[in-house]
Amino acid sequence: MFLNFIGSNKKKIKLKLFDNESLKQAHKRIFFTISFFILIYLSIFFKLTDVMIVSNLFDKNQEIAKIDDKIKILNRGNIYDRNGEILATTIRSFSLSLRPNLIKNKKNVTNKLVEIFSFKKEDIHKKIYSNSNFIWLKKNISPKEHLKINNLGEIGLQIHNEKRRIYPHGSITSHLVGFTNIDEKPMSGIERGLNETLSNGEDVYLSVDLRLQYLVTEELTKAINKFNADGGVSIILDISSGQILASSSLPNFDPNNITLTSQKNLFNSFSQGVYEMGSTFKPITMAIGYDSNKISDLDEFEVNKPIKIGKYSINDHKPFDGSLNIREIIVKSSNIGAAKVAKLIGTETQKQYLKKFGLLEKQLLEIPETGSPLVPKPWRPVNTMTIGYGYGLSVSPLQLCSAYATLVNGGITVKSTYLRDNHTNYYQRVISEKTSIKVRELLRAVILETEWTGPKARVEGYEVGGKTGTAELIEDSQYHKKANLSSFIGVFPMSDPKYIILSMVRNPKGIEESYFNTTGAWVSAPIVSKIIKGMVNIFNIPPVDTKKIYKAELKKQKN
Amino acid sequence: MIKNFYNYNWFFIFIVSVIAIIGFIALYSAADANLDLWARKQIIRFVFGLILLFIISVIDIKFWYKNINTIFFLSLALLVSVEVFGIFGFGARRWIKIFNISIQPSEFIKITLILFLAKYYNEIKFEKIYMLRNLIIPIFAIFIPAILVLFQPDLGTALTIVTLGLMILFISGVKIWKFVLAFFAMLISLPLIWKFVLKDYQIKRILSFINPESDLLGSGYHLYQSKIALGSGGLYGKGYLKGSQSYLDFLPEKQTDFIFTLIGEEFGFIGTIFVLVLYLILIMNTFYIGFKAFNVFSRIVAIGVGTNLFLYVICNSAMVTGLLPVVGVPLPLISYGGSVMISIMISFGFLMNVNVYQFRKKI
Repeated sequence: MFLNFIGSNKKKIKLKLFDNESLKQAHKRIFFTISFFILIYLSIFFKLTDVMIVSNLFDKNQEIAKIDDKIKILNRGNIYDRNGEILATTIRSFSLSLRPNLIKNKKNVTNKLVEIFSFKKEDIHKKIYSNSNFIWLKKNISPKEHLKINNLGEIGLQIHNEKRRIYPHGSITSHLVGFTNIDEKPMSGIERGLNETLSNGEDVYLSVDLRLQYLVTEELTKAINKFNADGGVSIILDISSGQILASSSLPNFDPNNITLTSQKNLFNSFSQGVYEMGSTFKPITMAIGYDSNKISDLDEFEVNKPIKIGKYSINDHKPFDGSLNIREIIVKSSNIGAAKVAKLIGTETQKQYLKKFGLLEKQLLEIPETGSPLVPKPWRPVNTMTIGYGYGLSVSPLQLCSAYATLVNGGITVKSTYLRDNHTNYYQRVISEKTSIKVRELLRAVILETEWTGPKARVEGYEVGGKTGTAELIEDSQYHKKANLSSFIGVFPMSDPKYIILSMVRNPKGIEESYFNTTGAWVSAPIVSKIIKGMVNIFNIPPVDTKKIYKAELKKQKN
Repeated sequence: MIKNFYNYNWFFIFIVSVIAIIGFIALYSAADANLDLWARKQIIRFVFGLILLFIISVIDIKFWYKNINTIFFLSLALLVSVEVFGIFGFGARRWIKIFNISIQPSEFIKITLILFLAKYYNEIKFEKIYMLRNLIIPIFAIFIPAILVLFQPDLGTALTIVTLGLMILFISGVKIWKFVLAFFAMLISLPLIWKFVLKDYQIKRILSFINPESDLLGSGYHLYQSKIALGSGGLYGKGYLKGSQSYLDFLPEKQTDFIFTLIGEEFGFIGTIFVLVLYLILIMNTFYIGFKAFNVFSRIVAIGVGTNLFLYVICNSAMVTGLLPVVGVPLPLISYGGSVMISIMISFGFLMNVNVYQFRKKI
């Protein structure tokens, strides 16, 4: 009909078109206007295409990418111990909140909420008509409920995505696992050191054995409480692989609730703190002496009078008469003897060996908290002598363990690691196998021949070796005569060393039971002994029956 | 009478009916498949409007022409009375109740303005249009209602009144340089309008238009939700009655200003383009009528009605897609509401009238 209409009037229109100025101009302007209108119309079409088609495709991809990102962040890798026990994991939870003043259709929202959550209608009614700005409705809503709320699109209902890093073993693994802050930013320990791996969603298996970690922490805690000490360190190191099986530093903290923690508790003493180790350094001095052929078993050193160098004076705890051989210097723990051996070794040789032991440089671990050793500068002959018995050079407890591993494993360095699957070890010979065997004998002799240490460190049926150390703590750059760093470093089993067990207690107070002694023998040796007993139980290690071995050997000879 | 219907533009009536039916369908869906809430009332209004259209169109054009000034001043008086008798709604006094029907005088003033200006320019000789004193009456006729509407406050309608009036002046042959001058005068006065005339909520709306995501809880909310709903429709839409309602449920004016969003969600890009093309056909038709009209009055009435329709459609679709701030302009024939339905049908009645009597050289 429309077309008919146009056709029927065509002639008349043509006749009248542009017949005068007024019509001519009006027609021009009509043409102009309609073109302008069509142009605006096209811009609306264009905008619709943008909003409904283009942005849709674009947004969807972006949304998917966003979700992917979210999942990646949410799935920060877990941290496991060597047996697959979870040490750190991320839990996500969604909570629903209500902002009553933003809700327009209150009745509708109330019904929907009741439908989704089977809340009591009266409760929701009360909340939704209340005057408050913000109300928590439900914690930990399910994914299904989450989706339904999303589909409502109600802006007065908000879903809060809460993800929390959970540390199931809390303070027990605090220093080594570390923690992340509320934004999942890694703050310390493995969390920080291996952040790149973890934040990519990869899991990490630590060399740590949770059972041993509990064991060392418990024994250390008991001793610290018993001696009313300031703190302590306890480490188990696998000699052959360099893997750290347990490392505990007290005081520690609860990584699940970090806000209440004082700065002091965040300090990791086993790798971050560096200390003058005292007598536990003496076997290292002897190893250097043997290996550089400066000393032999029969060499004797006069220890009856203190060594005086300028204003310094090197004394023994209890003065000895006459002279001591190497074995006796270690067993009786003579400072004068060790200092004399060190002097014999000489500064350069000592430096070279200590460097090879890795005691002069910062240790590289998977956790960022590693302390730099305090090395004497300049390294005078007096430093050489004091370092001989463990003063003047501060190293971390973990470094000492690594050095001991080298001492007893046949003389090669083993890179300490926190990773179970880390086998790319870097070996370097430091001392000869012969030297290593001699050191083992010395460490065994400490247990067998001492009056106090031996009985305290001994574990019936098992060969344990080790060395005590009682260092005076430095406070305000002065030695604190009454505050000790009492340590014991054990090796087990002695015939074929597998583990280094270190225990250090900081500032133990004398108690009646130990006759007010706060030395390594009284404080730390029992801890190591108990740890070894625990290990024997955990690993089910059979006792060594020396008589049986003896009989077997006899039988062999007979046959 | 019968001869008049023979000359009738039935195609135009058909397209109008199609759009109105789309409106009923959309309102049925907006009410969650409920006929009683909005759709039934809207159908009654449309039928009423259709009757008005026929009545207006068949009454001799001479009768209307004689009484145009009276009608214009009556509607202006009605607009002024809104300030006195107006009832409060949405913070704006836009409504007046007559015979228990709420009506918006601001919608009617547009039609009477078109008629008034059409008559005015029909009576002025073309050679005298350029004279500045002949511009005084049209300017007053345009700006008095516009300012009254602005103070209601209804910025969107005020702007459409001004735009509609200026468009008529343009078609009538007012010199171009005068428009350019007016444009610059407006640019200069804009900061003053911003400071003294615009209400806080209007400033907020304009600001939120510039960056809707910045204020999602407040003024940007409508636009943001609208864009989400439109985008969720995609190319083909979710299907009739399958719109999630999730976004629109919380648009308080989903049945009025944001009905286009619902169409977009349920019928997709194709659906929205279809609706817009239907409107475009109507607009082109009015311009065609204006183009072939034999007298100035018919021409201006036709193009005025077309421009009025165009402004409604463009403002609404631009608003929901985010091309314009949320100014509160409904989609004619589809949005729920009596005033716009009746006024647009009345305007079509006059369009049909000039179409029927188009070949009269003089009225």
